Amino acid sequence: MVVFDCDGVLTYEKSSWKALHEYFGSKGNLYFADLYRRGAISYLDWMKIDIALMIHSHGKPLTRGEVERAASRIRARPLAKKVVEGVVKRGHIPAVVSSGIDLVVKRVCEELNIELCFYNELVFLGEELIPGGVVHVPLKDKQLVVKKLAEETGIGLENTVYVGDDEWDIDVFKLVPVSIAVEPCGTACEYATYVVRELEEILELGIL
Amino acid sequence: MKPDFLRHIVNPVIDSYIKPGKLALKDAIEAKKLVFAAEERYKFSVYDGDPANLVTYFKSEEFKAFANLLESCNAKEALMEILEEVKRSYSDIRELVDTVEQVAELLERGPLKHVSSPGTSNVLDLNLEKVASALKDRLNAEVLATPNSVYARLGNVLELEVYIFKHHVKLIFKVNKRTGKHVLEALFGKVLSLAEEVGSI
Repeated sequence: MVVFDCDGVLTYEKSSWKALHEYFGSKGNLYFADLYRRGAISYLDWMKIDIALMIHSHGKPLTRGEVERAASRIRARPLAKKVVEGVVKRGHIPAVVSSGIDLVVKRVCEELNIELCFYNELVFLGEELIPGGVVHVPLKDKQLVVKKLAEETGIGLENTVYVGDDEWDIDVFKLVPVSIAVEPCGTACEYATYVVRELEEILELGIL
Repeated sequence: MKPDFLRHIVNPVIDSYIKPGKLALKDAIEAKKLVFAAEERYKFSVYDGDPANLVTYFKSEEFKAFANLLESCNAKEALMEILEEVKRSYSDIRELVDTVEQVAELLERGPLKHVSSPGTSNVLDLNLEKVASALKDRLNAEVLATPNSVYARLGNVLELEVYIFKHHVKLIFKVNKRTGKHVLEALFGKVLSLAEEVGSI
């Protein structure tokens, strides 16, 4: 099984959350990321804060249409489909484990025909985006989701390769036997078994 | 930061032998799995263990199985490269460096002896009790054993029947189509690879 992160790996956009902030004129405050990293707030708390910041900057409630429009600007990398097809052709199961939002990750999975797809969900009350959401993949606990996936599918971690790109992927890199970091990957590069400049290079490594 | 034995030494070295065709992919996968399984037991990972534990691993039957697998695939060179890399990466662990040198010397003389790894044996060591226990432990499946077969069910997605006869073993997989196209394709791919492997023996 080859498990992909979505933001920055299957897309060029490093963070779907950051993209939404930019669209609605707000800023993802690093302070809250740090609070989450230190365990002072939960991932759900962080989602609530991020969405509240967006609503505040926008000056009015965010509608589903507006959020979908913002999310639609994030597209899968042009060669992502070819990469996933290559992975399947070699007899592996592709999967996505991402802390990104459903409006981006789910669409990318559909575009790339990836059925095992895990992400976090935004919640709308009617047409109105509500601060919060449904957390399936807390950023700090991606390794637990990957482990559970490997166990529940019966594939096992020993047969799992993970492709990520940033510091939040480090714990997954430490878990799986083979990991690939897609540049730019900062300190995460040091933990991966392989580092590639472009996603399509994973097929050229000769390991799949 | 120190490199990790499995992730940054063994796997990249083994992989580097696949591409030029010096090592078959299936043998490489088997070799990597042996080290992955050993990591859990010997706790030599740099992340949640101690590379100094490699001393015990290099003296174990598990390492002999790994070494002999690579040797039997004409990839002794890969093994020596791994040992060299261990010496370089963990040069501050004196006991480990000494052990690596001893192991390298032994390997120069020939294959390591007294190996009895299930993964490398040609003798079928399988009985229904072991099958039932593996299905319970590894898949957490509901298991029903009869005198000549084991039936296992994993939720609504998979049913597996194993029959062990005197001269052959029969496996029946029933996979729910709702499991998804990729799962079915991958399963079929694995069955074909297995059939090719068995056919070539």
